Amino acid sequence: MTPVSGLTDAPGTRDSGGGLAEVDDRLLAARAADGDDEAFEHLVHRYAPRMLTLATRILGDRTEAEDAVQEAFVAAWRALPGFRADSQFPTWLYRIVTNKCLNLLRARRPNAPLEDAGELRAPAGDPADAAEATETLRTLGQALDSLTDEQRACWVLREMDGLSYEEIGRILGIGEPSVRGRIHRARKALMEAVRPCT
Amino acid sequence: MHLNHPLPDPAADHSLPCGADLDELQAFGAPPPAHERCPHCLDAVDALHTLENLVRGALEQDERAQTSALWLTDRIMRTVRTELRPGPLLPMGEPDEDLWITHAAATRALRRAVDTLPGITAGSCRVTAVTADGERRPRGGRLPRGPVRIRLEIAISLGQVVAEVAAAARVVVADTAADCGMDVREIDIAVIDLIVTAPAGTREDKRSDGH
Repeated sequence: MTPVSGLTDAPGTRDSGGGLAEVDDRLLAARAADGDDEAFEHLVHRYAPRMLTLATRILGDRTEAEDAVQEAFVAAWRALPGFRADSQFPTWLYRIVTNKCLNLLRARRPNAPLEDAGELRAPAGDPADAAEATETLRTLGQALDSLTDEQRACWVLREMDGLSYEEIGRILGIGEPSVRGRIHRARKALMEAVRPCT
Repeated sequence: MHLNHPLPDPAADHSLPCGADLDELQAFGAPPPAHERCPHCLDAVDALHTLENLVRGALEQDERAQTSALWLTDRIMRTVRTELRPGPLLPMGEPDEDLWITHAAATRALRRAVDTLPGITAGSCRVTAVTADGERRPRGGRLPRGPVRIRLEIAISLGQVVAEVAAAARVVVADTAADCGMDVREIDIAVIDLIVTAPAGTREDKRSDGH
């Protein structure tokens, strides 16, 4: 599987109109820490889609994920004045969102199954494509349902978001060997879960 | 006791019953030598392939769904804007006047002005009071009336003369602060980043820290 993103900063150039759309994360975070809501809006615009996808995969519920991402960004806005400028903003944001999701899962009854794997909704489009996409997401959602919360978070961060073991360890506050172990167990469980499809 | 040999970690065992390594199977997408007909390996390769296809399909859906999350930005920002951090009030005008500007508004104006200079992007900007006995913290949400010090961090495109760029930024900051009616005593410009711009047509920029 090929990771698609990772935690690289956005490019550090500026568009000719003098806007902030392509100003790098570090400068935007510094401006937002000063109280510049316009700079923060660019960070939200840049990361909200990725965080929503992450939260939806971890929580298995789109509506709950939207609320979690909103709360995470608002928490980030409040905490930005204490954000260390030499820290990576995406790592910090991933940590807030992931922990928010894991706390929500812990608040559910223990080991409760995800409410509805079908909540991993496909975007609207051609009906045939949409049906296939929905089936893909439903199958993946059901497979993810077979994992523990921590395994799911580690596996999604690794295989869907393309983060390194080290980055995942920093996000979850655990050592790299633990991350590797969780991902390995997750992979085995997912292979078992998708076997009927082969 | 053999303390030099810790107990094996079950999580570290990445092998299949036949002894093949699962991580290697995933990396190479095929059974290792001498395992080409191994049912464990073939079964695992099939399952990994199915899983990869599911992930690929889901990631493609993610790309298509990116725009459908735009409304979430608006929803988040509506909440954020109920919790703005305007910062302390800064004095404007003559010492005996009662004119003020919020720290956030003043620094936004300063940053925007600096952003118009080619090859410069403004970062953090802080305005503090300058008094005879040094800087004073704001009291009652206001800086004392009198002169201020401005500290602005900037990132500049590599290839420019740092001293010239910093000097240009200083002039723009001074002019803009004067337009805002601020009595500026000192301006500190800190170059915190050098931006290496990629050739036109690419988006792969490289950055290096610099001071």
